[in-house]
Amino acid sequence: MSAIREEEELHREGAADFVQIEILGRTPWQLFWVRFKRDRVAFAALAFIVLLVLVAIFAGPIASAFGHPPNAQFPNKLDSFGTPTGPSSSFLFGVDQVGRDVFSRVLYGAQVSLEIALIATALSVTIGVVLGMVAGYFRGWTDTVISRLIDITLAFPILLLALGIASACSLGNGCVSGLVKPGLGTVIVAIVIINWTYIGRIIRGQVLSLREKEFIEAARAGGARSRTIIFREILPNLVAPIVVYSTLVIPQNILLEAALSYLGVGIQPPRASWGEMLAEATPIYDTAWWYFAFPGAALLLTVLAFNLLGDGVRDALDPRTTT
Amino acid sequence: MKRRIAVLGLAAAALAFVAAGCGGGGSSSGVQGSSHTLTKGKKGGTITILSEGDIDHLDPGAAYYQFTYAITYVTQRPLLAYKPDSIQPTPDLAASMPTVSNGGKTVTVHIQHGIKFSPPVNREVTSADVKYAIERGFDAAVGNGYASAYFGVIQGAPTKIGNSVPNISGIATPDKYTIVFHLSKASGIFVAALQEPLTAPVPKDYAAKYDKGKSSSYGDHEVATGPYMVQNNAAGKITGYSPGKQIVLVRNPNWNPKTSWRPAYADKIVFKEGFDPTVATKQILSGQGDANGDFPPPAAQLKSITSNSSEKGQLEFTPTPGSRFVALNTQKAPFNNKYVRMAVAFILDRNAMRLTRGGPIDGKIATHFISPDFGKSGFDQAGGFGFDPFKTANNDSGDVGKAEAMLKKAGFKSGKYNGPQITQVADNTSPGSNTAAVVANSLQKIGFNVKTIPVQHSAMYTRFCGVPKNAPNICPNVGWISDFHEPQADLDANFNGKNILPANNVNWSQFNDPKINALMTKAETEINSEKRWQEWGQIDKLITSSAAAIPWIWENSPTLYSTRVTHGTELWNGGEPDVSFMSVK
Amino acid sequence: MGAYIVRRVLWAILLLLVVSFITFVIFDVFPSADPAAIRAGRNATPALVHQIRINLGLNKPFYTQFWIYLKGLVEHFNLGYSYYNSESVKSEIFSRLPATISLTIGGFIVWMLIGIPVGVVSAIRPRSIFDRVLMGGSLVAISAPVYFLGLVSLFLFAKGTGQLQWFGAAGSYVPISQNVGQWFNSLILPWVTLAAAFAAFYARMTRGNLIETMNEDYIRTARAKGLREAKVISKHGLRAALTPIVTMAGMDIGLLLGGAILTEIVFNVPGVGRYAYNAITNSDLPAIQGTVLFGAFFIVFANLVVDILYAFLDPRVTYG
Repeated sequence: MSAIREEEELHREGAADFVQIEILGRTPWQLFWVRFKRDRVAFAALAFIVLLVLVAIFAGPIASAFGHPPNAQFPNKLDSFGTPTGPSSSFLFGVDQVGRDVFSRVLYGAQVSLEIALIATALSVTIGVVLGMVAGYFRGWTDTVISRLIDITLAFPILLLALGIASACSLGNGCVSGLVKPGLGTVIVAIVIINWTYIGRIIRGQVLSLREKEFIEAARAGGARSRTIIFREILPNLVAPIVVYSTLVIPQNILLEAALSYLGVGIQPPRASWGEMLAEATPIYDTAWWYFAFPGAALLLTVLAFNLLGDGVRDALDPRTTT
Repeated sequence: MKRRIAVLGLAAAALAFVAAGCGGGGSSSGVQGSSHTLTKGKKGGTITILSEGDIDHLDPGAAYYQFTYAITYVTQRPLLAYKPDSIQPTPDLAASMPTVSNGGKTVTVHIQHGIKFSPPVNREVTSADVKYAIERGFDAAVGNGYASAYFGVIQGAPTKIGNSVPNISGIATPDKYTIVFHLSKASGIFVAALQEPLTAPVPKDYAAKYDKGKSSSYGDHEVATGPYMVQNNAAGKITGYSPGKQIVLVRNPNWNPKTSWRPAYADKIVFKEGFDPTVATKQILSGQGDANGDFPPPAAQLKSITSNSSEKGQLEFTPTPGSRFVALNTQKAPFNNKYVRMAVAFILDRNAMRLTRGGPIDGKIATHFISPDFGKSGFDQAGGFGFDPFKTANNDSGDVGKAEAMLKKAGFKSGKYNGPQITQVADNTSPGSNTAAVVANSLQKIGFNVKTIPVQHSAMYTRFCGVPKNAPNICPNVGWISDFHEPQADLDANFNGKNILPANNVNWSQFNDPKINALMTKAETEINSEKRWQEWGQIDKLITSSAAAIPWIWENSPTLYSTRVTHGTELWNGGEPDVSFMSVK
Repeated sequence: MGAYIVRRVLWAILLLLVVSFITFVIFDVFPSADPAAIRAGRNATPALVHQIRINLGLNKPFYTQFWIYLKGLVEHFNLGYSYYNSESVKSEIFSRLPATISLTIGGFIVWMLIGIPVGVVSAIRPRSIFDRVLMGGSLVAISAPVYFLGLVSLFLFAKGTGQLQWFGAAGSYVPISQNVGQWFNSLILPWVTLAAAFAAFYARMTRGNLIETMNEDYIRTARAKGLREAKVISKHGLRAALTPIVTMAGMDIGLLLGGAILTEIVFNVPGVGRYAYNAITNSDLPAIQGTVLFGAFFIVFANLVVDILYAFLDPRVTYG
């Protein structure tokens, strides 16, 4: 369930809103920035994300200032039944089942989420944009193949598909003769295989309507090569939707990574991932609330921040959907 | 979601679950699951057992999981069985203990007269039914996992397994009530193995049609000989089992109490499945269920129960006949070096490892393999609690000094390991994943860089630890529960070099020491039990000292009874309640 | 039109075929565990494992296995038998269907009952505090992973383990045929958890659509005629704004079934989703195949229905 779907809906009707801004507005990016700054919520979300990035980068120093190394174990922080102890002055968020500092692990978990946000999103957007443009521009059998590929992917129960890919590649040397290594690589592949389709479909729709515009017709009549038209003429007109969808895909990717880690096929230990922490916390949620509450809250806030940012970016780019 | 994954124990021989220990009413070495109360039970009523997962197979020829045995042993009568308070097998279908002659190569068993199969078969059990039961264990369609290991010694037992029930010439039935086993060589464990469910009679005239084909469906139509039967219809089709939901046992009308030592108080037993352990534990405390089936109450609840004087008495502990250990791959560097392995034995923080499974209540820290549960049949001979070759001064929390001394002997001058990264394949769910994290952390203290690959429990066994060519350096989440009280069943499969198989291997250390192999081969054929236990005790000491694998816990299984239960006792091997001994108010 | 429908149906069938083929490839070519070894048990001999491998057909090339599977499926609607316990996958799925249907239909009702009114209320006074709080809340709900929301709701409200012991806990599900009250109580938390993100999403969409509709000319006309605002909204605005939403909801029921997996896992509801998850952890290919096909069927079927409905309702759709 996603905000992406919402976007798709909006664009099923008015397919080329973005394009219009781009064409009509004289300085669209200035306009964008002015509007975006006015949106205090989106601005706060951006600030939170910047803070999160800093936390991820400086996780080490912060952990050593306020906590302990993320993989250091303190069995003496467990009682004689192995039950972890809760928040205290030296363990701000309590400890987990092997006596590790939950605070530090939540900090380090931000790294995983942001890496996924960055790499998986970049890859799925790139693949989605390229294939979407190719399909929309050339139409014919190319379009048929790409569109059917999208249909097939979306016909799967997504989580089962991701789980299948991830568990297939989580063993030994990974899959595709060791090309996809277990851990972050596998998770990214599983996410990209699924998530490029959303972007691909939207971009394809945009290109379908763009290619009929006069300036494209003109370029074609002028004898420009297809590649030139796609990258020089069409792509610049897609920047706005690409930006919007990228910000909307980010939270989806973070959630999918967390879900896979939650189901035990994600990041490799001892790296901390919020999803994996939630999974470990589940059997003891009634006795160690801090173990699910802090990673869960971090995950929720991060996804929320990206969603708010995405909303803000969309509103600023496309005033018609602003309310 | 971690906790709710059905544990694919599929093996009495694989530690499928766990639990608590020397606290509470823990029984000492040799005493199996002490009776809940000694008052005599009351006839009638319904018992409800709550469980998390499902059984593996109803078919007594295929069942091989402790929880399943809770149903198998009260519906089926193998030749022998363990009474709840004994480690000596006792005649069940048999009229008396087997007689061993011909230097251990002939075993004769007389079975009781007048024992009848449940409806719709209704006829008397004969020795031919036992013969057929064992023979069908060698049919791949039945898929018995231990027939070859324990009954392969019978003359004429097939080594090639096909999809048909073979005729085994070494099983003779001179008359209706006598069965004679001719063995190709003496076997020290053959008599003990006669308590496996595979020896429970199966009527060929009725079952043969279900045993045809690639997969036997006898389990869906099985008949009983025990005090209870899985509810069925007039045609024999099982109606009382819905996989993953519940199993209903009712009285077997053809069971004669005079032929059995099982009191069988209750009229009906319902096993309800699919429970969350925390919720099920609460339900037992509030009387909505009568005992826990396949799961131990979670540590947090054990904590509150043991500190509550009114609830404490509802908890029983059963020692399990086995241990959990960390297997080190002895065929690959660096653990092909005995001293490096010994360094690991000294450094492992076994105290912290035990905390990942609930702390001291889960059991004693193991110092060798044969568990206290074996008592005089091996544990004492292996040195009892006194044998602890890797003792450390700090409560088993790992000793850097002693470990470094070993590494120096192995040639690491600094006392720190500085070789390449090593790999362990571990469970991807807690508590196994937590245990592995402690192992990695301990090893780091002496210079190891451990890469942990988390996989599903079943993949850990069937793809990695059990497949030598894929085996990692360390398998931190392995363990073994003995199929019966013979140390051979505890040690042979795991450490005899001849048992290293290319797939489905359980000698996870790939331990292959010619001297120890020879000692084991000799001990296998020793039919004098005192001598046999002595020999296996020595073997245990040798294996433990070699540090091929490092045992770290002898577990106890907790069973929680509701206050309705006035008389309860547990199965010998896993702590599941023995429902034929339970009675309710 | 007839030809269009036939084409869509054929495509849907082809889609399901491709889905099951890909599932076969993923799980059979890269299985995570060895089903024959699992089935044989820890103490089994290589000979037994070998024969079981043959019995399960695992020694055949995967395309042959797929062909056999397809034949069984088409000729007898047979989904095969679990590698793990030999039970029929079809009957296992059907026996778990009531739990999954209970969860999804209840979830759907909660989702609609919360989503649409919240959206309407927000749209009536856009930018009011009320609107902002509701929309902010809905964004939080969209951002919260099901398993976290599930844990929080269990921690707060579950009987036995929660701070306020109000509703059934994880694993308390009973079939409706057994005890209606207990059934209802056990599903309250799963319903709300499952519906939260959907409801929030639909609230936002309803709000957007309604606001857009209320700016249309005919609404202005209606107002100019002097109709009361409430009547304008209920009679003209809602009808136009909700039609696409209801259509979409039909499509999303397929997604909801997929979303039920995590909910079933967190709340230990014995449904098809949990069966699917267990199948994956056991490398039980027939069970994985069966559940993936089951999920894909609902998604493809919902899409098909919507496509065909659109063709009937919207003259602009060309049957190309």
